Amino acid sequence: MTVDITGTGAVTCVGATAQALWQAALSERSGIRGGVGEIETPSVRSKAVYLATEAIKQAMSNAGWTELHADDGLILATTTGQIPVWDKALVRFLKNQIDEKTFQQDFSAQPLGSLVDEIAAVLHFNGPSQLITTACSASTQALALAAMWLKTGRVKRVLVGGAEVLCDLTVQGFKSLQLLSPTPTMPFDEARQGINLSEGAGFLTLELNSSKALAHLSGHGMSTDAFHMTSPHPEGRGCFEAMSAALKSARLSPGDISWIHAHGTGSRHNDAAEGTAINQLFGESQPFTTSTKWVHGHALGASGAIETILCVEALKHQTILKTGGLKNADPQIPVKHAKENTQAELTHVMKNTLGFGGANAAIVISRAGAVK
Amino acid sequence: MRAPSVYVIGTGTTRGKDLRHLLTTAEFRKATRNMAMAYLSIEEALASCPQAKESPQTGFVLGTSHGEFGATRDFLVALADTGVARPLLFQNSLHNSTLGFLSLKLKVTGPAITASNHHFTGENALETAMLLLQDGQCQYCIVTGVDTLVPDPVGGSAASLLLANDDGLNASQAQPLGVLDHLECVRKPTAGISSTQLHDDYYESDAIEQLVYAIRSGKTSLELPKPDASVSKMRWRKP
Repeated sequence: MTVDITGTGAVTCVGATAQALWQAALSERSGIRGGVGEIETPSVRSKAVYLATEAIKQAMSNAGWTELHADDGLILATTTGQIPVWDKALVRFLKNQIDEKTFQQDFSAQPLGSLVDEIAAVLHFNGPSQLITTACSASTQALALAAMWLKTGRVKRVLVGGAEVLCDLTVQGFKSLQLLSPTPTMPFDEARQGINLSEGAGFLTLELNSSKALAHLSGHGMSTDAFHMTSPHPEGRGCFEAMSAALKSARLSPGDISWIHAHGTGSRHNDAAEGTAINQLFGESQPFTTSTKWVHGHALGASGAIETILCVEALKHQTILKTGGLKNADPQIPVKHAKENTQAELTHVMKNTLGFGGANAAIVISRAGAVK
Repeated sequence: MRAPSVYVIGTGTTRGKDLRHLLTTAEFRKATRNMAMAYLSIEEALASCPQAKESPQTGFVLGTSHGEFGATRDFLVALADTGVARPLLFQNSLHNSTLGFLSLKLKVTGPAITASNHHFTGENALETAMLLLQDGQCQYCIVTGVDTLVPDPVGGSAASLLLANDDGLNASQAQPLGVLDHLECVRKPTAGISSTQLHDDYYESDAIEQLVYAIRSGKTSLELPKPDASVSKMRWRKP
């Protein structure tokens, strides 16, 4: 039984398709301007719904799906959902600047599940749905959950992915924690200054035993640091556990992993913790580790899905991406970096995410045909 | 092949409990109302199974529809009034902040997930926990539903279940209160955006609390209609 990725779709600050994302990563083109990765869209009520539906259309078209059926599943991931729809209205309402009826129209978008409601309505879908909001690990967890739904026979196919938009809460909030970089991030660099927040959506279609697999989702693992609300365990213990669990789930050993696509946010703590965990698990024979956040920024709850799409492309093209923005690797972080984009025999790729609250998730994505 | 069994081995709620004594302690003075309510309900659920406390075999799924709305509101108001973003308010403002705080307090190191799906928030949390246990990713799983009312973040409630799979039950020797069999969510066709208007004691993640009461009163099934005409149905067996 294989869990197969059969379609992908992405809208990011470097382009409106998954192919544009791949090409930007390949050509080292960054979409970060003024420290953030913003996407211009038509004037819409909800940017999150717009980005998600654009990515969904691509993924479904890619997979040859014309519609969702009652025995399909829909799993979304996000950190803040549709907050720009209501955040300013809330403040104005509390200051008696708008009436309650006007306020409620916008505030109806406050529950994160309203994103599921709206997307399900667009897709005319009444089947099983779920929304995960475990911070930066949300869409990696969503992918893991999608695999479990398929393997248990709960659904026949799953549309899964994440959507995130920039908002005052996260931009000003991360700034208050002094985690932002004003320039494109430099993951794993000794001079790294922090994160670039970005917005975007990434969606994938998953099926069992498909003849049209682009890649396989062959393992997943999750853990919690229980260390700090916003910083990872300094020794990356939770990340280590999540990656170990993902390998066990995929019935692989560390030596089977061809490439690691890191969370690699460019924050001092994240990169150090993650690098320590990678070194502890993979040791001297570790594969190359890459972060692509210099290209597309950190889309929080959507990052796992967007970056998994890059892993699918990498497997298809048998290419390891270099870490954009990395000039002088931090000698304190014992991971190996490819100096250039590198043609390589890629079979199994590990994708990591580390989130606020100490939530870690790792998945293994395998080349089409590499697992049975 | 039948899915592995999932047992309810502990229950907890916050109804009737006074939060004030908790929120004034040093340990909880930076906590939100959601964090305190959820903690009280989890503490009660864990009492039946000390082995699940601080175990690497314990997972956690928290369901919250409105999340940490109070902290979000305070952050946005302070930002608008003063131009200053308060880091502590931000840290507490994400839907996942509750889980993050509680994972620290409870020393949960297994898989931990925050679910949020409007009127099916509690149900989604429960079915996710069941999947984690059936997949063997943990032996115990805390499932919590917590919400405060909006836009005035007061009231609301929290409830928790402690679930176990066969390995967890055998290791703990706890007495199961029920064996979960079936959970189904029937979503009515969506005609647009649902209202967030709450009525009576309803809150969007209250399926966990309703299940707690139903188990405690000896029932074996529960049907929960939702404000948007959807419905969830649950069945379980007595051990």
